[in-house]
Amino acid sequence: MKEKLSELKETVARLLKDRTVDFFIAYQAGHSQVEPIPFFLTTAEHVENLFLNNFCAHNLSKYLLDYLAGDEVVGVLAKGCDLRALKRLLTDHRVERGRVFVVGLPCIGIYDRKKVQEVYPAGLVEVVEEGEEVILRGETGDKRVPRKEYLLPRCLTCPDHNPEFYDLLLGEKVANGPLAEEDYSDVRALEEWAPGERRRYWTRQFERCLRCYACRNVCPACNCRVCCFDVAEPRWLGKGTSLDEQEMFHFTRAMHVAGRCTGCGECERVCPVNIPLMKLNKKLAKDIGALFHVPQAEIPTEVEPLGQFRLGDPDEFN
Amino acid sequence: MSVERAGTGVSTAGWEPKIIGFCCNWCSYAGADLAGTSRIPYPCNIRIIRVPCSGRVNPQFVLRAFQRGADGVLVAGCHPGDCHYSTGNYFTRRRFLLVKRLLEYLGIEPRRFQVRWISGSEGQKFADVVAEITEQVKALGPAKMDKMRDVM
Repeated sequence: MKEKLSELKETVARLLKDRTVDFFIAYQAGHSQVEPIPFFLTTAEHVENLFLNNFCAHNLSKYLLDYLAGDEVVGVLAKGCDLRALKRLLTDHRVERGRVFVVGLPCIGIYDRKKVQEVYPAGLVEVVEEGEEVILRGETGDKRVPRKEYLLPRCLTCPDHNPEFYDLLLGEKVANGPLAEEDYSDVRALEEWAPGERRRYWTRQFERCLRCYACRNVCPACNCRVCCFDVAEPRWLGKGTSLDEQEMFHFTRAMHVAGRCTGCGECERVCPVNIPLMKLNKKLAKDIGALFHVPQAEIPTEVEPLGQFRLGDPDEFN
Repeated sequence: MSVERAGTGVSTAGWEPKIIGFCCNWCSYAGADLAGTSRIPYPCNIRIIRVPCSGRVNPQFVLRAFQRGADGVLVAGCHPGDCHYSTGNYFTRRRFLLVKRLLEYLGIEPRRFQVRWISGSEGQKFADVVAEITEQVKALGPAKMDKMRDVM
């Protein structure tokens, strides 16, 4: 991905100069190689600070919600997964297609910062891909590992290495297809446990929640104009940090994004206390697929699965 | 009734389950009314909350009921096809098929949460459903979600 940096710089400079876009959202270098941060460019002079590597995980299209007022055209760099997120915002009529200029970025996988940092807590110089293997080049020496083990979970089952649509594509399209099939094995494993065991498991997870709302803020499906956790009413929906409120928050969020979740796993990635949030979202995605025959790959749908019904839906309630 | 649930150390002597019943105004609440006017006895463990439609029942209500001390929750609405608002209960059905599985996934014993279709003419069914749920929840014992009740 790094090799596309010069092309990205040229492209962004051109788009800003000829006023195709009023500003552009991409990445800049963070504290280290593994922590790129979002970058908002308003002039072509800033393109030298652009940064691109295989740790650019952030979904930048969520920032479009910050620019709803006004009439600027916003350029955004989007990988396949980010494009699905953007599609979510477009389907929900939150973002106008005409005000977004999508620069598509073919991507064969983003590395999981946390996993790499276990090997290189500091001093990672670069990551070199060699087929199914990857060389983590650090100051203290190289480490050759299987690529799959260091990718973000979403990248293993990623169906679109190339963005579905774009106004401009960086580089060439890459070979498509997931590295592994989504089999919901982690959800199934948890389903096998005794109810009491599951209760203890989830209590341990929710206990850690800080109510920082990072999961909500990063989620493309959480795009309500007003979030129920940001308003004073209803009073029975608490804002505090206590186990019951924390569980309520995650239960509510799981239900609110049920049938809307694009499966990007950003919530889990940004969680500072590592709550396995995708185990909730995947459980719902799995049940929606089984009960209502809407597979995860088809989401976002124009009418969401919980916003419609069929007379012949399964009925076990009698 | 056992005085102590095996292995839990929680005394259940004199304990009676609290069951919250969300009943739709047009069918299930009328069904409960019919049970009453027909003098059909049913356990007094159920606390009925009347809602305009079973589609009004937010999944958050169900979890909050458990967190605030309910041992069981019943959501009752019109039979599919009979909704006063034509389609409300079809949405309820989709939603609660998922909620039921999600609650179970979160470790809440599935028999504690039930959804039933009870029409306005089914007074007997209402009494039977309440008796059945009460019996099942009694056998399960207290929901023990007291840890969830640290904010009141």
